[in-house]
This record gives sequence, structure tokens and C-alpha cells, in this order.
Amino acid sequence: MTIKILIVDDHSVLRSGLVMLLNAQEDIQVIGEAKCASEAIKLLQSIEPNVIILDINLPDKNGMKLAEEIIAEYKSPKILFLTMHDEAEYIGKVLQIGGAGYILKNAADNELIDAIRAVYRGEFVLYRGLKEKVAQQIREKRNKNSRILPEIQFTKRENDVLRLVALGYTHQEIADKLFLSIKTVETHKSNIMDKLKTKKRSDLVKYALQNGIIKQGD
Amino acid sequence: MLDKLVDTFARFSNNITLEIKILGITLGFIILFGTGITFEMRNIVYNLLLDELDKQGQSIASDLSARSADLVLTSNDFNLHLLLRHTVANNDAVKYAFIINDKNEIVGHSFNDGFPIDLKDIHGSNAYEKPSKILVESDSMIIHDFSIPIIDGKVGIARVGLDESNVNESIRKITNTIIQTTLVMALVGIIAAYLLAHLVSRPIHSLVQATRKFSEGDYSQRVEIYSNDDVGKLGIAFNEMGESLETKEQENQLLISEVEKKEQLRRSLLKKVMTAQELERKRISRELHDETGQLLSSLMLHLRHIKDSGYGEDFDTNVENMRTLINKTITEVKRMSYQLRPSVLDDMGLISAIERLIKEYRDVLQIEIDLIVHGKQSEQRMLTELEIAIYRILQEALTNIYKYAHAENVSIILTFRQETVQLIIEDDGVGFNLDLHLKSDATDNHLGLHGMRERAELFNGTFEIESQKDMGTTIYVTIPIVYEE
Repeated sequence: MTIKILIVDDHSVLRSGLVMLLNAQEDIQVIGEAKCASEAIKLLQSIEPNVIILDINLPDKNGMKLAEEIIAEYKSPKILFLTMHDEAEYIGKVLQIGGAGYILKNAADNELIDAIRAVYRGEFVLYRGLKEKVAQQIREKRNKNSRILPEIQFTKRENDVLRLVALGYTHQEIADKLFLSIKTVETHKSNIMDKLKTKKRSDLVKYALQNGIIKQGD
Repeated sequence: MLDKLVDTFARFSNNITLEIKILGITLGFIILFGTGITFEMRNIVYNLLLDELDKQGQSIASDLSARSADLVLTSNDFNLHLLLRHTVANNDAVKYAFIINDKNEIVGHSFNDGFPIDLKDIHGSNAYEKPSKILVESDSMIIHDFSIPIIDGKVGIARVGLDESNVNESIRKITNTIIQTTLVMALVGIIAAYLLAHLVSRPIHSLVQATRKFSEGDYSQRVEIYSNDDVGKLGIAFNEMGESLETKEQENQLLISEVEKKEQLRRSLLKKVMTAQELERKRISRELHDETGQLLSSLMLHLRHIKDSGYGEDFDTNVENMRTLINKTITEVKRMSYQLRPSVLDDMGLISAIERLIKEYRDVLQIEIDLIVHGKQSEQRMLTELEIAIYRILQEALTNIYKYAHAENVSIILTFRQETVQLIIEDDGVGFNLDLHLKSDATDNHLGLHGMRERAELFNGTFEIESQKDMGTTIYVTIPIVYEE
């Protein structure tokens, strides 16, 4: 049983290298090459690959977008991204659109071949180094978002100032709105920060959002 | 017709000053009025005096007729002569007197040098029956000849001739008086007209002068208000106009200096952009040459080595070395590419790119950088240029914090509102004196701020910065959202 492959990448050197590498495997055969998204779509009308190796940077379309279209149109082919991007952000997106794997071009030999086989079997494959990155990012995000600020008793004026600060008004605008001096506004603001035990404006916004002082997008 | 006349008059009087116009009009009216009055008065008085002359003549003639009756009947020639003499002497106007008897003969007359015979029968045959009067012309004089029958014409006729010299004298006197009065009135009129003209033209003159000053660009000029009439109102309006023009001028000057300042900024910014671009190119070229080029060259060497050594023991090690080298090259190229333009921004959008940027600075600066994104984001991507602008503004702000702020905490708040996106960057660093900073010339190290402002304003956005020494710095950027087509 051979795994039929379609390669979509705009670099001909890389493409020919890949074809050479993959065709050398007994169980893998490259049945098509495309250098851009439109060519890939055209090819897919005549051939039925099992795995599509897809680059993200294509001259006419973003690879992610093309993957979405292919998945919507043809159910069967698995999409394995082969790209230069090692940013963790991409992986979430790949999972979201239903990609089957994400491999970096640096690893374009044994790891790629293993990945093709795994994807063919129905597994989700992620490049080794990237797993750590994704995990770390998720950890960081959770740490930050999970921090719930305790509810604090503010004076009426402090509440006004807090609300306007969270709404993104400048100190001058707040002073004008509340008929206070800038100095007073700044004093109120630093009092609020002291009460919240923070030195960051972001915590003020967070508190205001958590306690319904402002709404999302206010 | 009247219009034409007015037109002609207006054209004619175009070059004459207001004072002369008023003087001319006043004088013209006085002279016209005086002349009219003179003629009218002459006529009236003349007619009145003539009537008076007639009555006088009749009464003198009647008197002569009554008193002469006895003298004619008694043929008292001497007394008749005396009576005639008296009659002529008693009145200046009476030029002659004579008596005709019932036989149509002259019985007495007052002429010194003989009776002019053609005078006798001018009243015709009716003269014996009723009184009559006839005008006689003689020696360029008009004589009013009165004839009255003596005792119903049975005795004769009394005749008296009066001339108009008295009347003419009176007329001459009256005319003279009127002309004198008119002249005096004209003089008074001229003075009055001059005063009036001066009164009218003085505020107009000062208005003209002030207007000239205005056109020379001196808007500080004001006119004195002398009265509350139309001209006074004009003056008040003029002063008000001057007031608003002066304010406008001040505003203009302010705007001009602002524009000039902006222009200067823009120029130095452009210069900086060009220099920066060149520097960037130089850096890339050097890096490509020194780093990537070197790596690729060493790859060549490695390949050469493999070729030379053939399938020896070291083959696997050599290949592994080459793979390491290639990996390094890839990392290097990626780093350069990211620095030029983070592909995350294009592929994954603004927020991912910002997160990545923040992570980078967090790692370098070892400080807290907090990001909050809230508000509803549209499915549609924002215009790429707009995303880049926001990204670069944030990058510039973080660079400033890195270079100058010595901050411990940085907050980044990105809010997506209905129609705008707001980016707030706040640090708790050393801050700076904003007034001093902005007042100073647009030299290099201030261009960062101006560059951020330029980027925001390019998308019709606003850029605000608040900072004080030791109070940290806050940057507020608000830009209207524009979506990708």
C-alpha cells in the first residue's frame, strides 16, 4: 500500500529535493506537484492524494486558507503543513481548521517521512521542538488569565476614575470630565493601584472587566 | 430718462469729493431758491404797487376834478394854475396835470415847455361821461394817464399823469434786499454745508485710512465712533470686522507656524526614514554577506571534504555537521526575515504578532509586560497597512521603553470598539517632561514620538502622550478601523 502525496510549495529546489527523498521510500509516492494554490486546486480535480504536503507561504494564497478550502471540498486527503514558521501561534490555527500535522522545513528528512506515515494512519503530528513551545504558551496564558483580582471597596470618586481609566481616557480627559485637576486624577489612580496591589494599568482594566465596571469593547 | 440723468450726474460727480458735493448741492439750492424768490417777489410787489399807483392816480384826479370845478366855471385861471402846480408838486409820481373844459379846450396845464397836443384826445369821446385810464409811452417811460369828468363832464375833464419811477425804485430796492439776503444766506449755507460735509466725511475719511491700513496687513487699526447714525453704525461694524479679522489673523499665524513646524518635522522624519532605510539595507547586506554567505561557504567546504574523503568512517559525522550548519543558516535567515517584517503579522494577524513582539521584549528586558485585548473583533481582517501601523507604533513604544524608561511594569491594552481600535501603552518608568520635549527642535531622538504620531495620523487616528518625571509614560493611540477589501 503506497501513500500518495501531493506537494504544494513555490520553491522548486525544495520540491525536487522532497520528491527525491520521498520517492526513495518504498511506501511513499509523489503523484503531483503544485507551485501555487490555484495549481493545487486544478490538480485535485484529477488526482486523489492521501496526504497533501502544504507550505503556508504561497504566492497567490495563504496555505491555511487553501487548506480550509480543500478540507471543505474533499474530505479524504490529510493535510500536513511543512513550513519555516516555528511560532506557536500557527499550531492553534492548524488544529482549528482541521490540519493533520505541522512540521518545520528544517526537519525535512526522517522526521518528515515518519510524520507522513503517522498522518496517513490518522494521527496528529507536531514537530518535536514545537510541542514545548505550545505547552509553554498555553501555560503562560492560563497563568495570566486565571489571576482573579479580589474585589475592593473604592470610594465613589475612585470608582469614577477607575471606570474612565479602564475606558481608555487620558488623564487630561478624565480631569476635564470630572472637573478635577490632573494631579488629583493621578493621585486617585495611584490610590486605586495601591488598593489593587498592582503597578499596571492592565490590572485596572482587568478588574473593571471582571467586575462589570466596563464591558468588553467599551 | 430720469435714470439716465442720475447716471450722467453720477458719472460726472464720480471724481468729486463728498465735501464738494455737499457744498455744491447746498449752494445750488440756495441760489436757485434766491433767484426764484426774487422773481416771484418782484412780480407780486410790482403788481401790488401798480394797483396802489392806480388808486393814487384816481384819487389825485378825483381831487383835482372836485377842486377845479369852481375855478373852471369862474374862469379863475390863476388859481387853476396854482392848483395844477400844487397837484404836481405834492406828489413825486405825478408828472403832469391839466384841465379840459366842456368845449374840449385846454384851460390850464402844468407843462413847463408847452402842452403836447397829441396827449389831449387819447381817452376818446367817452372821457366826458366816465373816468378812464390809459397807459401812455413817452421818453421810454410809461405814464399812467387818468381822466376824471368834472361834475359829470358838464364842466370838463381833469387829467393827471403818473409815472412808474416810484414803483421801479421800490422794486429795485426790494430786489437788492433779496439778493443781499440771498448772498448772506449763501455764505451761511456754505459754512453750514462745509461743517456738515466735514462732519459726514471725517468718519468716512478715518474709515478709508483704516481700510488702507487693513489692506497693508495692519489689523490693529480701529476708527473712532463720533455718532450713532448710519456712518457711526458703519464704524461700529468696521471695528467689529477688524476685531474678527485680527483674531483670524492671529489664528492664521498660529496655524502657519504649526504647519511650518509640522513641515519641518515631516522633513526630518523623511530624512530619518531615508537614513534608516539605508542603514537597514546596509545591515541586511552585511548580515547576508557575513553570516549567511559565510555559512554557505563553509557548507561548500564541508561538501568538498565529504567528496574528498568519500564513504569513510567520518561520513555520518560530516553529514551531521553539515545539517547543523544548515540549521544555523536557516535560523539566521529566519531571524533576518522576522526583523524585516514578521510574517506572523501577515499569516496570523495583529494580535499574534503583538504577542510575539511582547514575548521578545519580555525575554530581553526581563520585566512584566501585560497585554489585554478586549472588545469584539470582526471576522474580517483589518487593512494590512493599518495592522502594520499599530504594530510599528507598539514596537517603537517598546523600543523607547527599552532605551529610556527603566520601567518595571508595562501594560498594553488593545481595545476593539465599534469603529475604532485603541492601543494604550503605559509604563511605570522614569518618564520625561513632555512640554520641554515637544518644544525642542525636531532632532533625531524626538523623532520616535513624531514618527508614531505620523503613523497614527496617516490613518486619521489620534496620538496622545502623557508623561511626567518619575510618573511613567502613557501613550494613547486611537485609529478608525478600516477593513481589508
